[in-house]
Amino acid sequence: MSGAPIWIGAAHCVSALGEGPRFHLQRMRDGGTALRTVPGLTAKPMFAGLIPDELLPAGPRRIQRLLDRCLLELLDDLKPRPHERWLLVVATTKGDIAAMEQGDAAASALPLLGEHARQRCGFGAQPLVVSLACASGTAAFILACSAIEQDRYDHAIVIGADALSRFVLEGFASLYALDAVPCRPFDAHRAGTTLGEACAAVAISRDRDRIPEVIGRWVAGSIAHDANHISGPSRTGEGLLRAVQNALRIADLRASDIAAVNAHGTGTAYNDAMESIAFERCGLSDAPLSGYKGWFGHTLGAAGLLETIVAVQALREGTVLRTLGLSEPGVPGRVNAISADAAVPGRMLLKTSSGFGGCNAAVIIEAES
Amino acid sequence: MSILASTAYHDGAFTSAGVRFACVDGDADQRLAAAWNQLRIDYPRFHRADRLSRLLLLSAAPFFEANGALAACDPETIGMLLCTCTGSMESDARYQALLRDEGVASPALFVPTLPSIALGELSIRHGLHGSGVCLMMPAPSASALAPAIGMLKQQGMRHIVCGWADTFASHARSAFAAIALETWADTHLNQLQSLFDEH
Repeated sequence: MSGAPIWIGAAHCVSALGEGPRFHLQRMRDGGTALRTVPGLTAKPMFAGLIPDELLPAGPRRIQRLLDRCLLELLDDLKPRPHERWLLVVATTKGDIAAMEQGDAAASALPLLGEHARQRCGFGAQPLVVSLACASGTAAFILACSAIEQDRYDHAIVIGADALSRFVLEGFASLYALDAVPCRPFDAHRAGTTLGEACAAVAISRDRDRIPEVIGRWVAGSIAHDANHISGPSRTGEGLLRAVQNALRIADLRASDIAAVNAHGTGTAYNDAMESIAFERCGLSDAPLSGYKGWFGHTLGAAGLLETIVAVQALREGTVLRTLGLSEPGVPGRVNAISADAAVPGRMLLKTSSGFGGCNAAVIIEAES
Repeated sequence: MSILASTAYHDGAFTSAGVRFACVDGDADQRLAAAWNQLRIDYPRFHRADRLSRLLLLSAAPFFEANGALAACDPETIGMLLCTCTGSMESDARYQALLRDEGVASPALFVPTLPSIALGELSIRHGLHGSGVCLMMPAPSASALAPAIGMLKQQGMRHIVCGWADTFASHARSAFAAIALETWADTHLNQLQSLFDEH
């Protein structure tokens, strides 16, 4: 394994909130939620984070338009050269599930989304398409950084995307997992999540000069499973506890070294309770903790990357952004969930994601000053 | 030896430790059930799981049986690596058909519309708390799995259940290996690819 630093930069993102990491940060500091009732997608209108159509390039498939929005800008920044060792990692939960809704099951196969991205990038190597439920984006990031650490590649593009669909909205509604108002992570009155769509991408490299605008340095990451329940998280946070503790162990860090925690924070009763218990068990009770889904919704396969990008950008400026929708903390574990933007002195971010199937992913990134 | 054991399933024919069981009767679900019943494992949850999960549970079961390749290993350090092309497409189609025809979203059918649910089922069955990931690819490729195998090793996994599972409509196919990571090297990838190619 190589001990050389791995740099993260060239971040791009598009969500219901708008386009670009800086614009996200500005909107999250100064504005309100982008979650709106979305008519026409489902039998009963629901709150969701829908990307304005004019932000997306033209194209026949919405999920491809999301990918293209970030990829084309990223490639313009990076201009990968044929002799370089680039890896492409794509994260998604449902890819082009709209094709299944339209009766074309074969076109919904997730590897096709990877192939679309590969062709856009002009890479020869097969892309890695990660599908690990709502931990897909975070897991893809871990896999890409690990592949560089293993000296299999020198650089990587990691991109996560999921589009809103009736398929997924109705599914979450059937589980009574959607709040009637924009989600309120870690709040005592939270009643479910709110879904959104997004695409987020970063470049990763062992060569700091190869990627524009470095935002952080990869420290460590880990994935773990609850081995408990398919659709509900462990009540004791077993998987998340293991993922965080293993990431800390690999990084040779203590919990007290973490400056801020960006949680999965869906706004469902069980997820937020589980996270609070796991973080307390990890010794992270005092670290400022926030979840960002109140702004742009739970963006599924893009969530881990999108939230990491924004959290790292905020930490670069010495702040942790508040959890929108949180007014009265109400989770069983002792955590420092913040409802107002806070200044923090450190730069070490812990980002976590959890998903159906009991999967959990944790990454540690040092934000670049 | 880094590949400690392997299994394969192909539309009713299940092979483990050189023993082959074949059932050509019935549809894909009935053939899968027949293969499972032949193992004589009392685990009713198998029959309630989605098709991809059942394929993975069947494929990995011999590794965890008494004297199986992973029976004596610490479940905390057994990782999971699943590659698939169709993923949860069978579950997607079932859920979508009900949503389209009846206007009803079934929570029981919705949850398995994620391929990684199969990893969740496997982790529950054998108490595996370790790392694991699901990779979507058009065909099984051992070389494409190499970075993920390395990642699992980095995260402290000592053994992995690793393989290909694919199912949609009448088709169900798998090829899995129990791998010891301590002695694993990229030079073993051709053995893993041979397993995929044979089945």
